[in-house]
Amino acid sequence: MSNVFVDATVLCNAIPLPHVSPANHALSFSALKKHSTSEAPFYALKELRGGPLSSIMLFHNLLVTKDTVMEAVHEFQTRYSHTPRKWQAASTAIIDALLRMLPPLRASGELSDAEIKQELENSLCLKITKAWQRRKAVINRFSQPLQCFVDGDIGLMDRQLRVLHGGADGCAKEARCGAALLLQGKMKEVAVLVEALRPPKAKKGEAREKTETSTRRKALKELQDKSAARFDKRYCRGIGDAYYCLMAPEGFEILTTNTVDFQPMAMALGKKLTHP
Amino acid sequence: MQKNPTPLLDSQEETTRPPIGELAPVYIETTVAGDRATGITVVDEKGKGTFFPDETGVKLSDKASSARTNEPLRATAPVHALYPHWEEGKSTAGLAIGSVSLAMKDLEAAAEISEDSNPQFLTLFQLAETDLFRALTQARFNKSFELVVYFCAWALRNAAFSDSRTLSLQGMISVLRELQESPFIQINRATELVTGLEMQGWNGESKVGKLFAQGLATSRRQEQATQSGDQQQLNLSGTQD
Repeated sequence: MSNVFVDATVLCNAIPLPHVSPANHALSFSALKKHSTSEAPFYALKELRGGPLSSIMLFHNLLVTKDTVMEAVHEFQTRYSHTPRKWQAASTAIIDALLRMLPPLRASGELSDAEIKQELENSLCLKITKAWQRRKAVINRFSQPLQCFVDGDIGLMDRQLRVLHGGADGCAKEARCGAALLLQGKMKEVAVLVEALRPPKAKKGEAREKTETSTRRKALKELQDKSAARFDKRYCRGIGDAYYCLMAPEGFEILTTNTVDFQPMAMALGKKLTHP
Repeated sequence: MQKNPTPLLDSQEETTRPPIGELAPVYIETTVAGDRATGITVVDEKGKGTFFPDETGVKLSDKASSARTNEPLRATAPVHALYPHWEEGKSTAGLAIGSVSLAMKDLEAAAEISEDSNPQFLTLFQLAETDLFRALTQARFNKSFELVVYFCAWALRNAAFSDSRTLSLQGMISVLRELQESPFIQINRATELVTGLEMQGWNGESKVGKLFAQGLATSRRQEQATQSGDQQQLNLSGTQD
């Protein structure tokens, strides 16, 4: 029995969002229950809201505004590629599932396009709102509040789901980046991570480093080079996994489904990782 | 059909519906949370109010500001949208509430029959299901209301009769009663009602919803296979944890 510091991927699986399989949900949910204390930073709520929740809400809202499911899928496809790689799984899963399910269903003639769209819209809407209501219930406590983050509440406007206030990721434009302010006290560790994330010289034929890793290093360097007050908020999302590695409290293991990306950073900082 | 709340206006015999502003003085005040109106309350001349959240689409006239006001204002929505009870059986909203009410009565009668193998029980159960699917087609006036009706209709359809003994009919009746009495239910309460029914064992997933979930499970299995490949690679490097 240990204490765990939970990242957004585990939170997303535990609540669960609609794209999460029952098996992944069970794994994350039971992992949270078996530890004596589970703590998540508000940064995880911010990531959840700006990432997978936002993608799925977008798809729901496209179902509301478009005439058919296929129109919604096409529009969703054109937009989802802009989301960060680690959250694209949600969009990809939704599109794959629909493209697999729709042709035989439409060919059977059992339901009209309008009926399919309506059932899907209602089913998704309930799943999203249920996940929203559970997001704080699955974790023992949330810590490290961010001055820029407005947690908000979910609601319906013209049949579309909206989280008010603070835009897609709940970030108040006028506020300074709360994550940067918190990390300001960890500049030694930030320097360690910048070094740990430096790519080795690529040999011929070797794969280039992941975009996510280079973005993370840029975000951390931005923090190094400027004070928190001048930190460009566009880099906030780029900090991503590094946030959990830097901010996990003493005596806590980091609980994530994404051990591959976390591992070099956790090792560099001497933090322990655990997987659901 | 349920008892009418105090109607805004007594014009049941009218055949042509005039704009609400011409019918009677209607007092409207905004409800505010922080700096933002979250809905409006229509107050009749006796001071009885009915709250209409923003999600119902009921708008204030241009005269209204986001601040609280007790000034008399004219509503810009048609009266059947403002107050579905008033026109029971005439507007689709009124019809939807009526259908929910019928389903509730059918289930109440079914709950009084102790043995669910009784043909009368099955008939009442199926009647309630039919009532709710009819209500679903009439429920677009409030999506939160529609979502609960959707869940209940499919929950009755999915309930194998052998299971119905273990399901809480009283729980379902209670939810339908709340819907009938609060047709302008908001999304958070609607979600709580559905979650409560799920905890009692009801499964309100539609056919399309089930197929979508199956499609997602397949998609995720493929992704897990990819992830386990990554995991294997990590373990081979001997660096995890």
